[in-house]
Amino acid sequence: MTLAVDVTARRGAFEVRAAFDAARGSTTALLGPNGSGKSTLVSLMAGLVPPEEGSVVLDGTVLDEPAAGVYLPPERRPIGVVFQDLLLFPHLSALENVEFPLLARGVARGEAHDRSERLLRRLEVVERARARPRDLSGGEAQRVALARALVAEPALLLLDEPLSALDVGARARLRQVVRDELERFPGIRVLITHDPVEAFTMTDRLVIVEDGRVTQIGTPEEIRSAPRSRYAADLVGVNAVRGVLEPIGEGTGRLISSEGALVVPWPEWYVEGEVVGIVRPIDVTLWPDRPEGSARNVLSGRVTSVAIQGDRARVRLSTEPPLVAEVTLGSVERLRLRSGVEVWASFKAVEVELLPP
Amino acid sequence: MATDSRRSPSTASSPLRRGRIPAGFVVLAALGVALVALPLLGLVLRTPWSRIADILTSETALTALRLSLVVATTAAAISFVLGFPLAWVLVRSTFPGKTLVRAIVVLPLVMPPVVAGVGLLAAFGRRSGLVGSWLYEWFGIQLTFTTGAAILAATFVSFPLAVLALEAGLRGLDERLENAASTLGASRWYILRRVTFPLMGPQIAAALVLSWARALGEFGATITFAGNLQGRTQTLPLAVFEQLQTDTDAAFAVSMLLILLAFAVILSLRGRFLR
Repeated sequence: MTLAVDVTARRGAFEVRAAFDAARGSTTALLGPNGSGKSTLVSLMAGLVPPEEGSVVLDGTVLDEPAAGVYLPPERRPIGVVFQDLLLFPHLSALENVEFPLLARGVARGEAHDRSERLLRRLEVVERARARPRDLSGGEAQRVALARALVAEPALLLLDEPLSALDVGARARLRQVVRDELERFPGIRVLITHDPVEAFTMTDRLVIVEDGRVTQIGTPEEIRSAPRSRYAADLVGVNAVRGVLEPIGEGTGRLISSEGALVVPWPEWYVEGEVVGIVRPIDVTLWPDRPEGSARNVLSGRVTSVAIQGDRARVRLSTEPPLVAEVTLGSVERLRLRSGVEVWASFKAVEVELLPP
Repeated sequence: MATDSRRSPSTASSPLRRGRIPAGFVVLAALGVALVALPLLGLVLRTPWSRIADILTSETALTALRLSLVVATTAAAISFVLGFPLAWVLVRSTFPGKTLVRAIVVLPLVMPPVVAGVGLLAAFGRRSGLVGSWLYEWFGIQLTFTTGAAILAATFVSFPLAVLALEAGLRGLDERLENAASTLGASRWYILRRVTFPLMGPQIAAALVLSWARALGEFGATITFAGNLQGRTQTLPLAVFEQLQTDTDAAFAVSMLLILLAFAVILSLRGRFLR
């Protein structure tokens, strides 16, 4: 019982090519920056945008397969979608919005009413059942949209940025609601988000989408310990440098990326091609002048930003390659770190962890 | 709506609006109002109010009124049934010659009605009509001088108004709501009935009312193509025209009735015209 997506789709000049799957009873996140093609994938799974190539298969039923001439229209797919802009029907009450998918599928009026009301009660908005969408608060509208997507008991639930339209207070309350509903939902759950906190806390598996391509698939732990791209590394707070290796002797090598080079330990397993080097910000030491000592990586650059988190600060540097260092507030003061200041950064070769791509 | 309310204070305070009204404009504006108001005033004064009940309940007037309502209502219904799919195609698809199709469809708006009548004769006339001769030869159907002809003439002139109003409605519709409905299991027809039509309510009403009003007032095309036969093709405007030559009082009384109907139309669309 799974969803298997392996498609190429196009929106204007933008091409999305993605392959991933999702299993029943688990929650998969499509995580990526805005404009990476996540919403195109939502439209594609929902049947609103047909793929150019490939296939979408849900529980053994082929929904899309252009090569075989298969395309199931949206209304015949067992999929519930919560759209980013909700798209509640403005001329219908909250209850009528929730009844809509049942009535559209021929469920009797009385039964549709009861089921919708029950669901609104569970989501704690039943007292707003008669209100029009424009009179609902953001959180209420979100609950109604969730109820509308769930009420017909689809096999696949797609949540497109379900919390992005809410203010901070409502978001915290609704995150719990969404988490509960996801847990309760027996089918396949796909959460589309650009918010790493949502992705890492609410899902079992992450599919990272960048610029129309899937760059990594894994559990939150896997991605945390071994991010494969700059974006993923940023998400989990580490530096990632992708490049090819060149031996320089004594069990070391040079990792050459398009943005600069690092000295790294030579990995036994390396044959050829690209690898990713991970540098933890806490291992990067900052100096006012060129440091003496044994560290093989010594880079200079300007500070581009300083973000203080508790008693630590994350310092972005315009070194080649660009790095993030994590230092104490004491160091920030001692080194007078602020945007534009020139500093030196150092770390040992063995502090670069190499991962196969 | 929100943008409107935000914009209005700034336009109200724009220099052009706030400055003094030029004296010349006041005179010309007043002349403009008089141009429209004087004939109305004349009609009110010349209407034989003491006899109006008798005249309007006369056989001629009642027959013409009944026929007018049948013709205008049928024309508005046809305009909607054919106009909605056409507006849909014009708004939601691209095809070569679309501009030409739109130009042809709105042409009756600016075409002299009598020319429309001549054109209808050329198409549906019994003897030499493009389709009409064929209809007569094969099925023995003659359109000219029948109520059907009056309906056809009224539809011809009111159709573009319906198409334009429906096009505006479809263009203002958020298509994503229809997409959302399809992901909720709704068929095309269900979406049309429960989402598209309700959301287009005001524009559908406008399309029906405008085409109905235009059909009600239709004269030139009708008299040319359908003739002026009492009980068959003599609608209210045609009755006014005939009575003007025989019983002027009756002409004024029936004119008054048409004015009141027109006024009702304006009131029903007040959101559109009286802002």
